[in-house]
Amino acid sequence: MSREQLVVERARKAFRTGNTKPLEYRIQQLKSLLRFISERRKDIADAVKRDLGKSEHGTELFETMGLEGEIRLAIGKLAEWAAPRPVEKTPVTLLDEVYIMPEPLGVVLIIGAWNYPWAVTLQPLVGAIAAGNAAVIKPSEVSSHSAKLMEDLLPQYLDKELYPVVTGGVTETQELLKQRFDHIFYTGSSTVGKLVMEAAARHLTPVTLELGGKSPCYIDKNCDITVACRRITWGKFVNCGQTCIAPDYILCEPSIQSRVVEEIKKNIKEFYTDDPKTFEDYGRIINQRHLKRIVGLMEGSTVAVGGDSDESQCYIAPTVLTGVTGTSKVMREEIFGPILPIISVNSVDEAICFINEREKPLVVYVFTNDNKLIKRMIAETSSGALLANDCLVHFTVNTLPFGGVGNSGMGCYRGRHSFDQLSHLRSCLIKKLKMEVVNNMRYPPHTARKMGWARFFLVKQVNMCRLRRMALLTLFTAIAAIAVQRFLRRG
Amino acid sequence: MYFNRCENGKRMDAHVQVLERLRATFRSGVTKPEQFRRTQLNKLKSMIKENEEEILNALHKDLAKPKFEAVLSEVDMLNNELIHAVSNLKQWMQPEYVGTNLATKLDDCFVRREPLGVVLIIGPWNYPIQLLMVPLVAAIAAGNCVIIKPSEISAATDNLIAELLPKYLSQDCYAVIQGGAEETKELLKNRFDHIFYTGSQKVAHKILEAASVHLTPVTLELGGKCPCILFGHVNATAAARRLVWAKFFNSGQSCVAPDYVLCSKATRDALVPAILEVIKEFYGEDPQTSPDLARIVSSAHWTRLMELLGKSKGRIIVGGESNQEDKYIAPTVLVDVAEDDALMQEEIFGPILPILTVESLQEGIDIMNSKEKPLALYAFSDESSVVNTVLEKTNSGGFCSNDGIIHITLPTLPFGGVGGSGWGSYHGRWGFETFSHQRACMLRGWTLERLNGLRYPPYTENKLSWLRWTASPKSCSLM
Repeated sequence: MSREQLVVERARKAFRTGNTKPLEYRIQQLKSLLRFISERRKDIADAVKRDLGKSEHGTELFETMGLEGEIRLAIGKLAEWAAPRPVEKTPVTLLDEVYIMPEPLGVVLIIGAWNYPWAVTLQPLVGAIAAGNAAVIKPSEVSSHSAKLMEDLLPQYLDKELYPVVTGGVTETQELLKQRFDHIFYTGSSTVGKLVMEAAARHLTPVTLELGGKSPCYIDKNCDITVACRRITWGKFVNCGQTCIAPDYILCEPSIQSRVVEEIKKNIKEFYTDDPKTFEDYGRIINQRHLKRIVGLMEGSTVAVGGDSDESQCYIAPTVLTGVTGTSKVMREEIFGPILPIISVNSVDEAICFINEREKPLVVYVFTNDNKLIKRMIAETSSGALLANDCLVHFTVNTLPFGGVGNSGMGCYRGRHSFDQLSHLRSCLIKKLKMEVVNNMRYPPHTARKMGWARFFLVKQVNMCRLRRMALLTLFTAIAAIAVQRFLRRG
Repeated sequence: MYFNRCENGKRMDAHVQVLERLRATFRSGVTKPEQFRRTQLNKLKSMIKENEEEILNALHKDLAKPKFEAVLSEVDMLNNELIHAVSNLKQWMQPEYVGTNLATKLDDCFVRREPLGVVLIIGPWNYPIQLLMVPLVAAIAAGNCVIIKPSEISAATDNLIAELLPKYLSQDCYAVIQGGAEETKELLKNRFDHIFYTGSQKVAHKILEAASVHLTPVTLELGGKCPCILFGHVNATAAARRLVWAKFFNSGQSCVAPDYVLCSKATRDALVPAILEVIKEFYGEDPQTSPDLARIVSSAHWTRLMELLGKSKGRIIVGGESNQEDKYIAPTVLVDVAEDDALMQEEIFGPILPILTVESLQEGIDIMNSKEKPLALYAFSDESSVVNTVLEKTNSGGFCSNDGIIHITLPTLPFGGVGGSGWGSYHGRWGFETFSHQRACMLRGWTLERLNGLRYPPYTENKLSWLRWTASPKSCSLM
């Protein structure tokens, strides 16, 4: 038996004990996870620094702060999320109990990514724990320091049978994917997403795929270009562009292009100083393979800002490219790096066409003062999400579902969405064996008369809202009539 | 558009042409406005109303479906979904505004339900109208273009749908493609924005494999062995009536039919005479002459069922009679069926009811839990503690106590499986959500750029502590 098989079997056995069902247990595990983050903040920051060159503050801002918020939300809301959810009844079920009961799925596999190794791996785990599942956590081997730390430390805080960490590369992941899970949550590339879904097909396992794509960013000439470029510069170069929801490329009219370049250049200097290479708050590319890939993308375009790189340090300067068209090398794949191409379009119509010719991205960004334009973007494009006049921040709103569509993914998470995604919402109809005479209309031998009754009672839709309103109106009228009568009598 | 069964390569081209036409229509945006969707749904309603006789006849031809069953479980179920969709469509299409934290209080944050594109619905043969058209209602309501692939096994209904649908619905948006396993395989090579499949686990594997090539999301409505446990104090007469009705409806060919029964010896001894009585009451002395019992859909399925019955080591207490030409199998009940019996190895999907005896409730629960999670699970008892125990200790798509099947008639309950019985759900709003993309939208203003300054590098401890506070959900309580 392989290590992976053993781990999954142990997790399943631990799940079957029923220990994860009581809410108290789940809250206890979530509180431990919270403690883990606050007690090991320094260790986590060190690991991320070694993986991605991110500063301690950067790690807190983009990894742990959001994670802590997610855990606190789950702890605070768990009773509400896990409670039975009553639904509207039909006439024939008026005396019955009808509700939806959220239930754990079983053993969930969470495959994390390397770009935000803690946030992206542990946020789904919060949902899995809250929903009462066991979870096998497979952090990305590419962010190796974070993976090692997770493997060493998480078992000291969470139940090691229910929430084991399995490290390893492609072979180990493939072995894991041969096992049967009740749900697989994968964050990463579309290419590997297809392989994960194919493996899941073997056991008919449902999946959540958080993938990527080229998220376009349209800048309308009628907007505050200074503020727009400030926000875009921040959104792009956070984590050296290695963010699934980073603005991948800009679309704007030629008349504002040079202004946009200037503003971005100015902001790069302000945020990352004249020498980003030596600046603590500017990160690194995860490894040399990715660096070479990103540098290669610049071929055929003009470097307007930055462009330099240092392979030994996995460093690429914040870079802006111009002279880019739809067929340029940089437009052939998701950049996932600190390179921002600007493409000229003559109108918003052209921009919308350009966006729609390509796979549906994780997010569409639009910067404009014109609400009508925003409405057009919403109506005429499709993407995981749409954010107007800023970048990235929709991820901080944990009441919004976070997920893709088409090539950018399926399913969603964050807050209650994580809980629902990793639960089974079981329909429940609780009847009694009384009033059997009512059922006679549905039994054979069938007669036309029975059919008439059955058609009316059994399946008919009644507008319950209208019924309630009418009942209330009747009650109100009756009370008013009584009150008026009494008043008149007294008078 | 009626598409003849084509040969090999031509088949693929024909599918591609249909898809391209539908995709172009979708891109034009014509299916998005509420008015369009409502009109199409109303046309579908007219189609059912104006052709009810033809529909009932086709169903009778395919399954000898009694008119009563066809009206209730096919026509009326569909009509109700249509009424429900039309009256709720406006509300379903409204953007859903969500709560925000202090940092995002001034922003518009909402979730929009958007159509996916061109979706594929593959229907089964057991309820060839309901299980194909109810998803269609949801897909239309959600603003998609749809390719509908009825089951070729229920051939009369398949042909009727292919003939009627194009007469009522927009041919640019909705197309029927007919064919068998080969045609479906070819069809699945194309890219869809969602695939909705109702049928067997075996085929579901192939569907999911094909879907993974294009990262197509799927809904799988599968089957399984839906157990029915009777324990504690049980009103045997009432239980028998409901059980017999649910089991032999459509001659047991329902994905949510109670597949097998678990009960104690004492309960069995009270139940069996009641069941015998009820079968006689419902279907007469000779059920083959009753107009109220459906037939098995095909010779192949009839043979499968008879083989299962032949291999079983259980004792038949009623039924067992059959007629191959008529595809008839009498309502059959067996007792003394063991866990490893042939009837317990696969979903029966026929009018054969095995009764297994268990010593305790836990034993019954263990047997249920040893199998794949079923689409439905039934518990009969006058004791609510028994019902609650079964509910808490088992898993299934849906659960109903003291009755069978009826829980799927509520449009407010999601209808779907879990584990081996499926993935995803539909009915009512759940169907609308299945065929929609929930797009998160956030519209920010241009003010408060100074507040944004907290997040820009260089990062400092001071900035961080402000941000921690503004991003927390508790900070909203100040407002």
